[in-house]
Amino acid sequence: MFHQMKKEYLEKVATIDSTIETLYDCLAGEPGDPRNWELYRFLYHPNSKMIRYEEDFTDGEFRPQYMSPYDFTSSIGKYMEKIKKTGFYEREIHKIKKVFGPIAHVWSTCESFGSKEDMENNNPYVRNVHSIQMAYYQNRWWIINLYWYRETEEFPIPNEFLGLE
Amino acid sequence: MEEKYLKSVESIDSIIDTNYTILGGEAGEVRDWDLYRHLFHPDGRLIRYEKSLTDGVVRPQFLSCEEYINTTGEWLNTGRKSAFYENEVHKEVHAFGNIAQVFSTYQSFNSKEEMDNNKPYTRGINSFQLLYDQDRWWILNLFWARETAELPIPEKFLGK
Repeated sequence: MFHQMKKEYLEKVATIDSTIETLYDCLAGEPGDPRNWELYRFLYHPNSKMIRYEEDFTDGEFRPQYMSPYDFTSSIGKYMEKIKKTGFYEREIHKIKKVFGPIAHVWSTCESFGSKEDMENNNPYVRNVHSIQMAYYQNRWWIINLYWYRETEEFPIPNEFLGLE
Repeated sequence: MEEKYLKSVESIDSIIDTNYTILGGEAGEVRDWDLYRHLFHPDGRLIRYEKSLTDGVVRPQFLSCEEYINTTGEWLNTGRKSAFYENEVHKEVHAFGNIAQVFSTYQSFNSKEEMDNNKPYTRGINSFQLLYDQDRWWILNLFWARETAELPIPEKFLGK
């Protein structure tokens, strides 16, 4: 059983593309849908960080917010699963990969939707750019740092990161 | 605050250039670690994809800036028998809003003369994650791997 699970998980981290695809897929679901957080955390190195440059929950100031994947799945993850009134779906629009042997970083633009219907109608409620540092060792890819920034009116995502030029 | 501190973090180019120049020096020369520390966010990390100092296995080694200064930094100050200089050959920058990532190819030299003659003893690639916050740039993560015989740096990352 464990062996089988392991094999299925290892296929998800066989390439940079499959790892990032799984990263987005794991979060998707309708309100109340349980997500596979075990698989989600499996994508990350034990020392990895998730860093969002957003308003701090305590004082509303912008500063980098550091979380471990475990912090993320047990707070934001739990919220998405149990409290959020809408669905959540993410889709990658564009990706730039820079790879040197066992190290890589990826600049991945994605859009988020409140329902499958919104996704079909191409109606995202927010877009983000993710900078993802990755390492390959022990025959698999690991996310080392996931660092992101949400699109704002002041900073619309440039066409080059939307695959439009 | 001293001018050099402000200058070092005013642009993506200046923070990365400063990262390289601070490490440079003759054998026994004590580097300006206060300035180095200034480049990094308090939660910033250096991640070397190299042999572990304990068991020799290659894997990502996570260090805070302080841990780096106390180990590699102290060795540059007092342990290393030759000079050490670094420069950048090429970089690829992606920036959006307040965040940026940079793939920067570096070369390391045992003397200024070797740097002038472009004779590096090693090369590698640094992946930087950078943030613009509080009117300055910060290094959040510096993640690197060294070139080896089995793993030459692709020409595209040498600016060729």
